[in-house]
Amino acid sequence: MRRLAHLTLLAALLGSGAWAVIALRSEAGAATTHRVTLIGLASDSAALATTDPNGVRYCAYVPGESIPAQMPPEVTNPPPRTPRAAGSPPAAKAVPSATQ
Amino acid sequence: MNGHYAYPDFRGRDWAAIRTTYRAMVEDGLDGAGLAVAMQNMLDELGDEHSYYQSPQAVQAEEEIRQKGQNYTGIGVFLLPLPGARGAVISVFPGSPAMEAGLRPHDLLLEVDGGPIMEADGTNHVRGPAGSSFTLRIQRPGEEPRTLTLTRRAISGSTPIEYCLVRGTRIGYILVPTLADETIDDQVRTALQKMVAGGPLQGLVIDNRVDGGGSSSVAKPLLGFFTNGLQGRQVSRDGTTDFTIAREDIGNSQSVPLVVLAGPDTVSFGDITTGVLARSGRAIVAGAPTRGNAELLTRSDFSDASRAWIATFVFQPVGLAPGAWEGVGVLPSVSVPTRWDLFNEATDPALAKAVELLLQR
Repeated sequence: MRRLAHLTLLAALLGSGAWAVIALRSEAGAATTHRVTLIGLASDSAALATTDPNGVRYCAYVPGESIPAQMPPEVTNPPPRTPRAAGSPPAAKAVPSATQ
Repeated sequence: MNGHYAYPDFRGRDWAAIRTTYRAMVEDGLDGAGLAVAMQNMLDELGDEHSYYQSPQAVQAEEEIRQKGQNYTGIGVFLLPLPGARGAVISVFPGSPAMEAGLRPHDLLLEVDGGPIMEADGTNHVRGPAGSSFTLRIQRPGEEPRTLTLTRRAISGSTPIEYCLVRGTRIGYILVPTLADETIDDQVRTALQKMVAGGPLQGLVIDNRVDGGGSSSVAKPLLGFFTNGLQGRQVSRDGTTDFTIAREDIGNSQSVPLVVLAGPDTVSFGDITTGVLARSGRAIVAGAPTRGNAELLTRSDFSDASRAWIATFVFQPVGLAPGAWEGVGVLPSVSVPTRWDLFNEATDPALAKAVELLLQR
């Protein structure tokens, strides 16, 4: 039986983090194929990097991962606000919106 | 006051009677501190919640900051005063003791050496002699309180903005802590330049929630990154002045979709910058109504080196009446809780909503 084994190791080191994908293929003839794929994530540089390539910090908030803080009822349903009493402003012509 | 106060009806108050009352107090004899309190109380009676008095010492301190930037001994945090003599961190000075101790925006400062952070008269106990150490009780939103020991040292430079990119997107976030620091527009320009270096932004969150206002010399160039042209008028009893914005495009800043976060601590030029971006159609406002205190103040210098800043202009947004935002604020189109001390950057419900809105565009 002819046995062919392939070991593929792909590792990329990016910055201080690293990620690696190891694919191990073991084939025994055409009729029997056994394939094992190991994906080893030692770390994920994209996830660990604190800045983008131009040095801009990544926000601590991550869409799909971060959970917004639960606010107490008095914050989510504040009492109605009493507007401050308005004075009579100086007279002036309205600025037409077309001038925007 | 009689000729230039923005409200000819003195907001229904009897200014002549107010003036007579306080004049009698002064003539009975007041020391410097007493005079400062009386002057502020007198202006407070007008109820505009904006006009204010500065003692000679306050004038000197402000002028030094204006000319030299921040220069004091402390730990290097820009604080939002909170009820209960506490404070919440708005931003942290680079290289400061606060940054070395790991303090971050939203951290709540509870106690200094077991006592209050601030006094009612404005005394800030976080400040003190260089080299002096103290215990600082802090609480990070969502965590238990803990105690740090910090040593004060000289702090100088500008009030820092905060900015970041939302991971996995091309959405930027910029916190505008104040418009009173003359470097803020420069800092925002630099932030935009760095953020667009990696490509155009797909959205930008401008956080005005703790923007207590400042100067038109900062607000106008900042607005110029995102909009341009006539955006309103400053209306006084003596006439009107156009509020025109000069365009400065940084990458795609003139067209990038914007969400402005705002709330009750968004005041004065904070009100105006938020309102202008909303009114011009450039931004969605998320949060809560702004303070609604958008008069423009004019300085009166007195012979003893004190000052009064008196509301002499109201802001008239394009297409709206003069003073349209006074008392009611700029209303958000999306309501989100804005309490600064109840979340951190990772758990900020308003930032989450803003990103959601921008990803939908």
